[in-house]
Amino acid sequence: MLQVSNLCKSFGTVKAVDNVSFTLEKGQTLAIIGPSGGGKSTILRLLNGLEQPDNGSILINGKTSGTFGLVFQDYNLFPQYTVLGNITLAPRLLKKDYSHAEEILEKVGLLEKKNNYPSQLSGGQKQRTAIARALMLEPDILCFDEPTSALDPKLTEEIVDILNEMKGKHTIIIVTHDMDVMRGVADKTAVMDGGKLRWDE
Amino acid sequence: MVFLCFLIVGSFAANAAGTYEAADEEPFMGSLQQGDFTLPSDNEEPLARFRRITLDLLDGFRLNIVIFFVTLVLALPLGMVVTFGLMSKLAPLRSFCKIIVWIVRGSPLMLQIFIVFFVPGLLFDTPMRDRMLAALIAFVINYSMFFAEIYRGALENMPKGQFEAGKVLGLSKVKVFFHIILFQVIKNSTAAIGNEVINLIKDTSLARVVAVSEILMRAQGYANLGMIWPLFYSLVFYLAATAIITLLFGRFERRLKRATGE
Repeated sequence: MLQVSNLCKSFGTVKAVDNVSFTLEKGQTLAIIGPSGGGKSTILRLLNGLEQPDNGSILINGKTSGTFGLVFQDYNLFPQYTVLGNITLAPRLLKKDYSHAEEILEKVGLLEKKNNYPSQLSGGQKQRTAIARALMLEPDILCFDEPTSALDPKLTEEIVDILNEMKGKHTIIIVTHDMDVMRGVADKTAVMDGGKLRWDE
Repeated sequence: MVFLCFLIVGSFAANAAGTYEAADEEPFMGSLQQGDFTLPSDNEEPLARFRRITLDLLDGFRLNIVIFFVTLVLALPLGMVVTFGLMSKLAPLRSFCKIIVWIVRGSPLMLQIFIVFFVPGLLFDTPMRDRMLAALIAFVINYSMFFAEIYRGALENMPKGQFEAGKVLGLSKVKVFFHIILFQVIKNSTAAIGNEVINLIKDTSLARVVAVSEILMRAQGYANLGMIWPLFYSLVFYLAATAIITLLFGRFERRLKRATGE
Protein backbone atom coordinates (compact mmCIF):
# COMPACT_ATOMS: atom_id res chain seq x y z
CA MET A 1 0.00 0.00 0.00
CA LEU A 2 1.25 3.47 -0.92
CA GLN A 3 0.76 6.16 1.66
CA VAL A 4 1.61 9.76 0.78
CA SER A 5 1.30 12.24 3.63
CA ASN A 6 1.47 16.02 3.66
CA LEU A 7 3.69 16.18 0.59
CA CYS A 8 4.92 19.72 -0.17
CA LYS A 9 7.19 21.08 -2.86
CA SER A 10 7.75 24.70 -3.84
CA PHE A 11 9.80 26.16 -6.67
CA GLY A 12 10.57 29.68 -5.56
CA THR A 13 7.28 31.14 -4.46
CA VAL A 14 5.20 28.68 -6.48
CA LYS A 15 3.69 25.85 -4.47
CA ALA A 16 3.78 23.08 -7.05
CA VAL A 17 2.59 20.45 -4.60
CA ASP A 18 0.71 21.84 -1.64
CA ASN A 19 0.17 19.50 1.28
CA VAL A 20 -0.99 16.50 -0.73
CA SER A 21 -2.01 13.26 1.00
CA PHE A 22 -3.48 10.10 -0.46
CA THR A 23 -3.33 6.35 -0.23
CA LEU A 24 -3.36 3.72 -2.93
CA GLU A 25 -4.03 0.02 -2.35
CA LYS A 26 -1.92 -2.67 -3.96
CA GLY A 27 -3.14 -3.47 -7.46
CA GLN A 28 -5.12 -0.27 -7.84
CA THR A 29 -4.78 2.18 -10.68
CA LEU A 30 -4.88 5.88 -9.90
CA ALA A 31 -5.23 8.54 -12.57
CA ILE A 32 -4.24 12.09 -11.71
CA ILE A 33 -5.66 14.56 -14.16
CA GLY A 34 -5.50 18.31 -14.37
CA PRO A 35 -4.19 21.23 -16.36
CA SER A 36 -0.50 21.52 -17.16
CA GLY A 37 1.35 23.41 -14.47
CA GLY A 38 -1.09 22.04 -11.91
CA GLY A 39 1.63 20.08 -10.15
CA LYS A 40 0.76 16.58 -11.31
CA SER A 41 4.12 15.91 -12.94
CA THR A 42 5.88 17.20 -9.82
CA ILE A 43 4.12 14.51 -7.78
CA LEU A 44 5.54 11.82 -10.05
CA ARG A 45 8.99 13.38 -9.85
CA LEU A 46 8.78 13.45 -6.05
CA LEU A 47 7.66 9.81 -5.91
CA ASN A 48 10.50 8.76 -8.20
CA GLY A 49 13.18 10.70 -6.37
CA LEU A 50 13.84 13.18 -9.17
CA GLU A 51 12.90 15.99 -6.78
CA GLN A 52 13.31 16.13 -3.03
CA PRO A 53 10.13 17.08 -1.11
CA ASP A 54 10.22 20.13 1.16
CA ASN A 55 8.01 18.28 3.56
CA GLY A 56 5.95 15.13 3.90
CA SER A 57 6.55 11.41 3.54
CA ILE A 58 6.15 8.68 0.96
CA LEU A 59 5.72 5.21 2.43
CA ILE A 60 5.14 1.87 0.76
CA ASN A 61 3.82 -0.73 3.19
CA GLY A 62 4.91 1.57 5.97
CA LYS A 63 8.52 1.73 4.77
CA THR A 64 10.52 4.34 2.87
CA SER A 65 12.43 1.69 0.95
CA GLY A 66 9.71 1.00 -1.62
CA THR A 67 10.57 1.17 -5.28
CA PHE A 68 9.01 3.15 -8.10
CA GLY A 69 9.29 2.79 -11.83
CA LEU A 70 8.63 5.65 -14.23
CA VAL A 71 7.60 5.65 -17.87
CA PHE A 72 8.57 9.08 -19.16
CA GLN A 73 6.41 11.16 -21.42
CA ASP A 74 9.07 11.11 -24.15
CA TYR A 75 10.31 7.63 -23.15
CA ASN A 76 13.98 8.62 -22.74
CA LEU A 77 15.24 5.38 -24.22
CA PHE A 78 19.00 5.03 -24.54
CA PRO A 79 19.76 5.40 -28.27
CA GLN A 80 22.94 3.31 -28.25
CA TYR A 81 21.28 0.20 -26.86
CA THR A 82 18.85 -2.20 -28.50
CA VAL A 83 15.43 -2.83 -26.98
CA LEU A 84 16.91 -5.74 -25.05
CA GLY A 85 19.93 -3.62 -24.11
CA ASN A 86 17.71 -0.82 -22.85
CA ILE A 87 15.69 -3.02 -20.55
CA THR A 88 18.62 -5.06 -19.21
CA LEU A 89 21.06 -2.17 -18.70
CA ALA A 90 20.03 -1.32 -15.16
CA PRO A 91 19.79 -4.88 -13.79
CA ARG A 92 23.10 -5.73 -15.47
CA LEU A 93 24.87 -2.73 -13.93
CA LEU A 94 23.21 -3.28 -10.56
CA LYS A 95 24.14 -6.98 -10.67
CA LYS A 96 20.52 -8.05 -10.47
CA ASP A 97 18.74 -10.85 -12.23
CA TYR A 98 17.66 -10.09 -15.80
CA SER A 99 16.73 -13.54 -17.01
CA HIS A 100 13.07 -12.50 -17.23
CA ALA A 101 13.84 -9.87 -19.91
CA GLU A 102 12.40 -11.81 -22.85
CA GLU A 103 9.36 -12.79 -20.83
CA ILE A 104 8.64 -9.12 -20.16
CA LEU A 105 9.18 -8.21 -23.81
CA GLU A 106 6.73 -10.95 -24.72
CA LYS A 107 4.22 -9.43 -22.30
CA VAL A 108 4.40 -5.99 -23.91
CA GLY A 109 4.44 -7.56 -27.38
CA LEU A 110 7.94 -6.51 -28.38
CA LEU A 111 9.87 -9.76 -28.46
CA GLU A 112 10.42 -9.69 -32.23
CA LYS A 113 11.89 -6.17 -31.89
CA LYS A 114 14.37 -7.06 -29.18
CA ASN A 115 17.41 -6.42 -31.35
CA ASN A 116 16.16 -3.15 -32.79
CA TYR A 117 17.45 0.24 -31.74
CA PRO A 118 15.10 2.96 -30.49
CA SER A 119 15.66 4.92 -33.71
CA GLN A 120 14.05 2.01 -35.56
CA LEU A 121 10.89 1.88 -33.44
CA SER A 122 7.52 3.55 -33.79
CA GLY A 123 6.16 5.77 -31.01
CA GLY A 124 4.05 2.97 -29.58
CA GLN A 125 6.96 0.52 -29.66
CA LYS A 126 9.18 3.05 -27.91
CA GLN A 127 6.59 3.45 -25.22
CA ARG A 128 6.29 -0.31 -24.75
CA THR A 129 10.08 -0.52 -24.47
CA ALA A 130 9.93 2.16 -21.78
CA ILE A 131 7.25 0.17 -19.96
CA ALA A 132 9.32 -3.02 -20.20
CA ARG A 133 12.38 -1.17 -18.94
CA ALA A 134 10.48 0.06 -15.89
CA LEU A 135 9.00 -3.40 -15.24
CA MET A 136 12.40 -5.12 -15.30
CA LEU A 137 13.23 -3.89 -11.80
CA GLU A 138 9.83 -5.07 -10.54
CA PRO A 139 8.84 -1.80 -8.90
CA ASP A 140 6.15 -1.67 -6.22
CA ILE A 141 4.48 1.21 -8.04
CA LEU A 142 4.64 1.94 -11.75
CA CYS A 143 4.17 5.56 -12.80
CA PHE A 144 3.23 6.90 -16.23
CA ASP A 145 3.84 10.52 -17.16
CA GLU A 146 1.37 11.59 -19.87
CA PRO A 147 1.36 8.18 -21.61
CA THR A 148 -0.99 9.22 -24.41
CA SER A 149 0.17 12.75 -25.13
CA ALA A 150 2.64 11.95 -27.90
CA LEU A 151 0.60 9.29 -29.65
CA ASP A 152 -2.01 9.37 -32.36
CA PRO A 153 -5.54 8.05 -31.56
CA LYS A 154 -4.81 4.52 -32.76
CA LEU A 155 -1.69 4.18 -30.66
CA THR A 156 -3.49 5.75 -27.72
CA GLU A 157 -5.95 2.89 -27.94
CA GLU A 158 -3.05 0.45 -28.03
CA ILE A 159 -1.54 1.93 -24.87
CA VAL A 160 -4.91 1.94 -23.14
CA ASP A 161 -5.15 -1.76 -23.96
CA ILE A 162 -1.75 -2.39 -22.42
CA LEU A 163 -2.71 -0.40 -19.34
CA ASN A 164 -5.95 -2.34 -19.04
CA GLU A 165 -4.01 -5.57 -19.33
CA MET A 166 -1.61 -4.51 -16.59
CA LYS A 167 -4.44 -3.36 -14.38
CA GLY A 168 -4.74 -5.35 -11.21
CA LYS A 169 -1.33 -6.99 -11.66
CA HIS A 170 0.55 -3.80 -10.88
CA THR A 171 -0.05 -0.77 -8.75
CA ILE A 172 -0.17 2.09 -11.22
CA ILE A 173 -0.25 5.89 -11.10
CA ILE A 174 -1.02 7.66 -14.35
CA VAL A 175 -0.60 11.39 -14.76
CA THR A 176 -2.52 12.78 -17.72
CA HIS A 177 -4.47 15.69 -19.08
CA ASP A 178 -6.51 13.27 -21.18
CA MET A 179 -9.48 12.67 -18.90
CA ASP A 180 -11.67 10.76 -21.31
CA VAL A 181 -9.09 8.11 -22.10
CA MET A 182 -8.12 7.45 -18.53
CA ARG A 183 -11.50 7.31 -16.87
CA GLY A 184 -12.03 3.83 -18.26
CA VAL A 185 -8.63 2.61 -17.05
CA ALA A 186 -8.45 4.02 -13.56
CA ASP A 187 -9.97 2.69 -10.35
CA LYS A 188 -9.59 6.09 -8.76
CA THR A 189 -9.34 9.51 -10.33
CA ALA A 190 -8.01 12.66 -8.73
CA VAL A 191 -7.77 16.18 -10.03
CA MET A 192 -4.63 18.16 -9.39
CA ASP A 193 -4.85 21.91 -9.75
CA GLY A 194 -2.91 24.71 -8.11
CA GLY A 195 -0.86 22.17 -6.18
CA LYS A 196 -3.94 20.71 -4.44
CA LEU A 197 -5.29 17.23 -4.97
CA ARG A 198 -9.01 16.60 -4.84
CA TRP A 199 -10.86 13.38 -5.42
CA ASP A 200 -13.16 13.04 -8.30
CA GLU A 201 -15.98 10.68 -7.50
CA MET B 1 47.44 36.35 -14.95
CA VAL B 2 48.26 34.79 -18.29
CA PHE B 3 51.84 34.75 -17.25
CA LEU B 4 51.05 33.13 -13.93
CA CYS B 5 49.11 30.39 -15.60
CA PHE B 6 51.92 29.43 -17.89
CA LEU B 7 54.33 29.70 -15.08
CA ILE B 8 52.55 26.83 -13.36
CA VAL B 9 52.32 24.85 -16.57
CA GLY B 10 55.93 25.55 -17.40
CA SER B 11 57.31 24.47 -14.06
CA PHE B 12 55.42 21.22 -14.38
CA ALA B 13 56.88 20.87 -17.84
CA ALA B 14 60.39 21.48 -16.59
CA ASN B 15 60.11 18.72 -14.03
CA ALA B 16 58.71 16.37 -16.59
CA ALA B 17 61.54 17.30 -18.95
CA GLY B 18 64.11 16.40 -16.34
CA THR B 19 62.85 12.86 -15.89
CA TYR B 20 62.24 12.41 -19.56
CA GLU B 21 65.74 13.35 -20.52
CA ALA B 22 67.34 11.02 -18.05
CA ALA B 23 65.77 8.15 -19.90
CA ASP B 24 66.35 9.31 -23.42
CA GLU B 25 68.79 11.82 -24.74
CA GLU B 26 66.99 14.26 -27.01
CA PRO B 27 65.81 11.66 -29.45
CA PHE B 28 64.15 14.11 -31.79
CA MET B 29 67.07 16.43 -32.33
CA GLY B 30 69.28 13.99 -34.13
CA SER B 31 68.54 15.31 -37.56
CA LEU B 32 69.10 18.97 -36.77
CA GLN B 33 72.67 19.03 -37.88
CA GLN B 34 74.35 21.48 -40.15
CA GLY B 35 74.88 18.96 -42.90
CA ASP B 36 71.21 18.72 -43.55
CA PHE B 37 70.76 22.01 -45.29
CA THR B 38 73.85 22.20 -47.43
CA LEU B 39 73.01 22.78 -51.04
CA PRO B 40 73.83 19.63 -52.95
CA SER B 41 76.65 19.79 -55.36
CA ASP B 42 75.75 20.59 -58.93
CA ASN B 43 76.61 17.17 -60.17
CA GLU B 44 73.93 15.47 -58.03
CA GLU B 45 71.43 13.62 -60.23
CA PRO B 46 68.02 15.39 -60.15
CA LEU B 47 66.29 12.11 -59.31
CA ALA B 48 68.75 11.33 -56.52
CA ARG B 49 68.24 14.81 -55.15
CA PHE B 50 64.48 14.43 -55.26
CA ARG B 51 64.79 11.12 -53.47
CA ARG B 52 67.10 12.55 -50.82
CA ILE B 53 64.84 15.53 -50.14
CA THR B 54 61.71 13.39 -50.11
CA LEU B 55 63.25 11.16 -47.46
CA ASP B 56 64.40 14.18 -45.49
CA LEU B 57 60.93 15.76 -45.58
CA LEU B 58 59.38 12.42 -44.68
CA ASP B 59 61.75 12.16 -41.74
CA GLY B 60 60.60 15.62 -40.67
CA PHE B 61 56.96 14.71 -41.15
CA ARG B 62 57.51 11.80 -38.78
CA LEU B 63 57.79 14.43 -36.04
CA ASN B 64 54.54 16.06 -37.13
CA ILE B 65 52.86 12.67 -36.89
CA VAL B 66 54.32 12.07 -33.43
CA ILE B 67 53.03 15.46 -32.22
CA PHE B 68 49.68 14.70 -33.82
CA PHE B 69 49.16 11.32 -32.15
CA VAL B 70 50.56 12.23 -28.74
CA THR B 71 48.34 15.31 -28.68
CA LEU B 72 45.26 13.32 -29.64
CA VAL B 73 45.87 10.46 -27.22
CA LEU B 74 46.42 12.82 -24.28
CA ALA B 75 44.21 15.79 -25.11
CA LEU B 76 41.03 13.86 -25.96
CA PRO B 77 40.63 12.40 -22.44
CA LEU B 78 42.17 15.43 -20.74
CA GLY B 79 39.56 17.61 -22.44
CA MET B 80 36.84 15.58 -20.73
CA VAL B 81 38.48 16.18 -17.35
CA VAL B 82 38.52 19.93 -18.05
CA THR B 83 34.85 19.69 -19.05
CA PHE B 84 34.04 18.27 -15.61
CA GLY B 85 35.83 21.28 -14.14
CA LEU B 86 33.88 23.67 -16.38
CA MET B 87 30.60 22.09 -15.31
CA SER B 88 31.51 21.52 -11.67
CA LYS B 89 29.11 22.52 -8.92
CA LEU B 90 32.05 24.15 -7.11
CA ALA B 91 32.07 27.78 -8.23
CA PRO B 92 35.82 28.40 -7.61
CA LEU B 93 36.83 25.33 -9.63
CA ARG B 94 34.44 26.31 -12.39
CA SER B 95 35.81 29.86 -12.57
CA PHE B 96 39.38 28.60 -12.50
CA CYS B 97 38.74 26.27 -15.43
CA LYS B 98 36.92 28.97 -17.36
CA ILE B 99 39.87 31.33 -16.94
CA ILE B 100 42.37 28.69 -18.06
CA VAL B 101 40.23 27.85 -21.09
CA TRP B 102 39.95 31.53 -21.96
CA ILE B 103 43.71 32.08 -21.65
CA VAL B 104 44.65 29.04 -23.70
CA ARG B 105 42.02 29.49 -26.38
CA GLY B 106 42.57 33.22 -26.48
CA SER B 107 46.30 33.21 -27.15
CA PRO B 108 48.37 32.00 -30.09
CA LEU B 109 49.61 28.43 -29.86
CA MET B 110 52.97 29.63 -31.13
CA LEU B 111 53.33 31.86 -28.12
CA GLN B 112 52.30 29.04 -25.82
CA ILE B 113 55.05 26.84 -27.22
CA PHE B 114 57.57 29.61 -26.56
CA ILE B 115 56.29 30.06 -23.04
CA VAL B 116 56.46 26.36 -22.17
CA PHE B 117 59.95 26.23 -23.60
CA PHE B 118 61.48 29.37 -22.14
CA VAL B 119 59.65 30.27 -18.94
CA PRO B 120 60.87 27.35 -16.76
CA GLY B 121 64.47 28.34 -17.45
CA LEU B 122 63.90 32.07 -16.99
CA LEU B 123 62.00 31.77 -13.74
CA PHE B 124 63.07 28.59 -12.03
CA ASP B 125 66.52 28.14 -13.45
CA THR B 126 65.52 24.73 -14.73
CA PRO B 127 65.84 25.12 -18.47
CA MET B 128 63.66 23.04 -20.69
CA ARG B 129 66.17 21.07 -22.69
CA ASP B 130 63.86 18.90 -24.74
CA ARG B 131 62.32 21.05 -27.45
CA MET B 132 60.00 18.32 -28.63
CA LEU B 133 58.68 17.81 -25.12
CA ALA B 134 58.01 21.53 -24.74
CA ALA B 135 56.09 21.52 -28.00
CA LEU B 136 54.12 18.43 -26.96
CA ILE B 137 53.12 19.95 -23.62
CA ALA B 138 51.93 23.13 -25.30
CA PHE B 139 49.96 21.17 -27.90
CA VAL B 140 48.32 18.88 -25.35
CA ILE B 141 47.26 21.78 -23.12
CA ASN B 142 46.07 23.86 -26.06
CA TYR B 143 44.01 21.13 -27.66
CA SER B 144 42.52 19.84 -24.39
CA MET B 145 40.92 23.23 -23.90
CA PHE B 146 39.37 23.19 -27.36
CA PHE B 147 38.14 19.64 -26.87
CA ALA B 148 36.78 20.57 -23.43
CA GLU B 149 34.61 23.29 -24.93
CA ILE B 150 33.33 20.89 -27.59
CA TYR B 151 32.45 18.26 -24.97
CA ARG B 152 30.80 20.91 -22.80
CA GLY B 153 28.57 21.91 -25.68
CA ALA B 154 27.60 18.29 -26.34
CA LEU B 155 27.03 17.59 -22.66
CA GLU B 156 24.86 20.66 -22.18
CA ASN B 157 22.80 19.67 -25.20
CA MET B 158 22.11 16.21 -23.79
CA PRO B 159 18.40 15.80 -23.07
CA LYS B 160 17.90 16.00 -19.30
CA GLY B 161 15.70 12.93 -19.60
CA GLN B 162 18.70 10.69 -20.30
CA PHE B 163 20.16 11.52 -16.89
CA GLU B 164 16.77 11.18 -15.24
CA ALA B 165 16.01 7.85 -16.89
CA GLY B 166 19.28 6.51 -15.49
CA LYS B 167 18.59 7.91 -12.07
CA VAL B 168 15.07 6.47 -11.92
CA LEU B 169 16.54 3.07 -12.77
CA GLY B 170 18.69 3.37 -9.66
CA LEU B 171 22.01 3.95 -11.41
CA SER B 172 24.69 6.08 -9.78
CA LYS B 173 25.88 9.29 -11.45
CA VAL B 174 29.14 7.61 -12.47
CA LYS B 175 27.31 4.66 -14.06
CA VAL B 176 24.89 7.00 -15.82
CA PHE B 177 27.82 8.96 -17.22
CA PHE B 178 29.89 6.04 -18.44
CA HIS B 179 27.09 3.77 -19.66
CA ILE B 180 24.51 6.24 -20.98
CA ILE B 181 25.90 9.74 -21.46
CA LEU B 182 29.50 9.32 -22.64
CA PHE B 183 28.64 7.56 -25.89
CA GLN B 184 26.16 10.25 -26.84
CA VAL B 185 28.57 13.05 -25.97
CA ILE B 186 31.23 11.45 -28.17
CA LYS B 187 28.74 10.93 -30.97
CA ASN B 188 27.55 14.51 -30.81
CA SER B 189 31.13 15.83 -30.69
CA THR B 190 32.65 13.96 -33.62
CA ALA B 191 31.94 16.56 -36.31
CA ALA B 192 33.49 19.36 -34.24
CA ILE B 193 36.36 17.14 -33.08
CA GLY B 194 37.02 16.21 -36.70
CA ASN B 195 37.49 19.87 -37.51
CA GLU B 196 39.95 20.33 -34.68
CA VAL B 197 41.86 17.23 -35.70
CA ILE B 198 42.36 18.62 -39.20
CA ASN B 199 43.56 21.86 -37.63
CA LEU B 200 45.90 19.88 -35.40
CA ILE B 201 47.79 18.19 -38.21
CA LYS B 202 48.39 21.60 -39.79
CA ASP B 203 49.29 23.21 -36.47
CA THR B 204 52.00 20.64 -35.80
CA SER B 205 54.35 22.66 -38.01
CA LEU B 206 54.33 25.38 -35.33
CA ALA B 207 56.75 23.21 -33.35
CA ARG B 208 59.49 24.66 -35.58
CA VAL B 209 59.44 27.86 -33.49
CA VAL B 210 61.46 26.01 -30.88
CA ALA B 211 63.55 24.32 -33.58
CA VAL B 212 61.83 20.96 -33.66
CA SER B 213 62.96 19.98 -37.12
CA GLU B 214 59.58 19.05 -38.49
CA ILE B 215 58.74 19.08 -42.18
CA LEU B 216 58.26 22.82 -42.76
CA MET B 217 61.43 23.68 -40.92
CA ARG B 218 63.39 21.40 -43.22
CA ALA B 219 61.62 22.70 -46.30
CA GLN B 220 62.35 26.24 -45.19
CA GLY B 221 65.97 25.26 -44.72
CA TYR B 222 66.18 24.39 -48.42
CA ALA B 223 64.34 27.60 -49.32
CA ASN B 224 66.85 29.65 -47.36
CA LEU B 225 69.56 28.11 -49.48
CA GLY B 226 67.79 29.09 -52.68
CA MET B 227 65.82 25.94 -53.43
CA ILE B 228 62.13 26.76 -53.14
CA TRP B 229 60.35 23.65 -54.46
CA PRO B 230 60.63 21.49 -51.30
CA LEU B 231 58.47 24.09 -49.55
CA PHE B 232 55.67 23.54 -52.04
CA TYR B 233 56.36 19.83 -52.14
CA SER B 234 55.67 19.60 -48.39
CA LEU B 235 52.06 20.47 -49.19
CA VAL B 236 51.66 16.94 -50.57
CA PHE B 237 52.43 15.43 -47.17
CA TYR B 238 49.84 17.56 -45.41
CA LEU B 239 47.17 16.88 -48.00
CA ALA B 240 47.86 13.14 -47.83
CA ALA B 241 47.58 13.23 -44.05
CA THR B 242 44.34 15.25 -44.02
CA ALA B 243 42.86 12.94 -46.65
CA ILE B 244 43.58 9.90 -44.46
CA ILE B 245 42.22 11.65 -41.36
CA THR B 246 39.05 12.70 -43.16
CA LEU B 247 38.52 9.13 -44.36
CA LEU B 248 39.08 7.67 -40.91
CA PHE B 249 36.75 10.18 -39.29
CA GLY B 250 34.07 9.48 -41.83
CA ARG B 251 34.30 5.79 -41.01
CA PHE B 252 34.21 6.50 -37.30
CA GLU B 253 31.12 8.66 -37.69
CA ARG B 254 29.36 6.00 -39.73
CA ARG B 255 30.24 3.42 -37.12
CA LEU B 256 28.75 5.56 -34.38
CA LYS B 257 25.60 5.94 -36.43
CA ARG B 258 25.39 2.20 -36.96
CA ALA B 259 25.73 1.75 -33.20
CA THR B 260 22.38 3.50 -32.76
CA GLY B 261 20.75 1.65 -35.62
CA GLU B 262 20.63 4.70 -37.92
